Amino acid sequence: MTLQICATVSPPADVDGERALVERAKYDSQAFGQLYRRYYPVVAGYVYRRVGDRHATEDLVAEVFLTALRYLPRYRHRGVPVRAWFYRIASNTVNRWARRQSRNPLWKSNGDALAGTPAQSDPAPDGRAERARRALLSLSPKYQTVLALHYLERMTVDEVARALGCRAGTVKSRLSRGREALREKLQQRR
Amino acid sequence: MHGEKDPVDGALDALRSQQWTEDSYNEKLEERLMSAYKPSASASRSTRRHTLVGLAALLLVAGGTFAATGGIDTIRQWLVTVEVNGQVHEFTTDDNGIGSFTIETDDGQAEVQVQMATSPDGGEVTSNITISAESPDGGMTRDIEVQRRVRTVSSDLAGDSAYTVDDLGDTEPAAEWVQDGVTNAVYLVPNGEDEGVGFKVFAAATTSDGETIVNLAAAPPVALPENEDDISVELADDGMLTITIGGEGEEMVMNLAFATAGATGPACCDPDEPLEVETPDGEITITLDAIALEGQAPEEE
Repeated sequence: MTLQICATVSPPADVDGERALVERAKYDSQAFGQLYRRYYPVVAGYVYRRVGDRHATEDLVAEVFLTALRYLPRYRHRGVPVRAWFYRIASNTVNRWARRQSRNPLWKSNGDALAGTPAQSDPAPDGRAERARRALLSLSPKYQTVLALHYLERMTVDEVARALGCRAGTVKSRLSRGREALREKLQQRR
Repeated sequence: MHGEKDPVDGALDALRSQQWTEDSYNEKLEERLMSAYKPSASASRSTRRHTLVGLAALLLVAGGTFAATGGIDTIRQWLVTVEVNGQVHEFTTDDNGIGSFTIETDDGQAEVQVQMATSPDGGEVTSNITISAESPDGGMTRDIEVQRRVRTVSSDLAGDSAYTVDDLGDTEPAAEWVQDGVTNAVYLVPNGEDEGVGFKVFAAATTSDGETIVNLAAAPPVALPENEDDISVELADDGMLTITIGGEGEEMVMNLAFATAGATGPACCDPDEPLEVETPDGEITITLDAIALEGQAPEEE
C-alpha cells in the first residue's frame, strides 16, 4: 500500500511576509534577489530529483527564474505560498524538458548511456534512482508532476492542488493512476 | 511477497534521497537575473508589447475508424466539460458542433472555442473538433480538462468544411507527416487585409485519393512574423505540434494535438475506451469519453 509522508519539508511559510517580499520584488531588484536566493535551493532540489543531471538542472533552474522574473509583474497573491508558484513554474519547465527528451531517439533507445552528470552527492551507484527517474520521466506530465510534488517534495495533497491550481480530488486520482502507471513502467524496466 | 517493499515506494524513496548539494545559489545566474530585471512600472508598460499568448488548440479527428469497427460513423454533438482552477463548466455544442464560451477566473479569463466540421473522407465521414483555450497568465498553469463528449449517430450529416485548399494560397506547410495513409499538414496563413491582425492555423489532410480536407485549427490574434527565424515548429512522434512564435515583442506558444480515434498510434485507442490528448506541458487535457446513445453502441470487432 501507499507509504506516504505528507509533512512539508520547510516550516510553514510566512505567507504575509512572502507576499510583501514579492510585492517589493516587483519594483526592487534587491527584493527579487532575496526571493532568488531563498528559493534557489528549493527549485534546484526539485528539478534535480526530477531530471537527475547537474548541468540540465542548472539550465532548467535558470529557465525557471527567468520565467518567474518575466511573470512577476502579473503575479497575484491568492493565499497560496510563493513556494507553490515556483513549484508550478518548475513543474512546467521540467515537463517541457521531459517532452523534448522523449523525442530524442538516443534518449529513448539508450537512455542509460545518456544519464547525465550526477551531483556530487548522487548516491546511486546501483542505478536504482536512475531507473526510477527514467520510469517517472516516461509517464504523462500530469502524473509526473503530482507524484514528484507529493512523494519527492513531500507536499500534502492540498498543497499540490494549490500549487497546480486544481482540486484535491483531481490530485488524488492522478496520484492513484500515476502510481499504477509508474508500477507498469518499473516492471517493464526490470 | 509478505514484507517486501512496494517497488513504487522503493523507486520514489530512491528519488527522494537525491539531494542537490551544489551551490546554494548561482552567482552568474543572479547577475543575469539582475541585468534582466526591470522595475514593475516600466515592465507593466512593456508587458503590453511583450504579451505572451499561451494558446492551446487540440484538433481531434474521430469517427472514420469507428465506422471501420462497426460503430458510429458520425459525431454530431459534443458535451464539453472544462475545469479551470476547480471551476467546472459544461458546454454543449449545437448540431453543427460550434460553440464558444468564456471562463472568468481569478487572473482573468480563458476562452474556450469548440468547432466541429464534417467532411467526406474516403467514403466514410470524419469529424473534427477544435478546442482552444487562451490562458492570460502565461507561465502560471491552468488545469483545463475537457472530460467527456456525447455523440449521436446521423447518417445524413455530412456538412462540408468551410475551408478549402484555396484558403492556403501559396503557403508552404509548416509541418507535414503521414499517418494511416493520410498526409497531414499544418499551414500558418496570415490574415487578409480585411481580417485584422492575426493568422490562421489550418490543418489539411490529403487522402490517398488526392482529396484534401482543410480545417481551421486556430486563429490567434497575433501577427505572423515576417522573419522565418521567429517561427519554430516542432512535431512530436505522436503528432503533437508545438508552434512558437517570437520577435517584435510578441511571443506565442501554441500546442496542437492530433489524434485519430480508433486508429493506431500512441494516443489511440480502443474505441470503447476514452481517448485522451493533452498538451506537452500537461496544462490542457481533453478526454473523449464515447457515449453511445439509444442503442447505437459501437459493435464489437
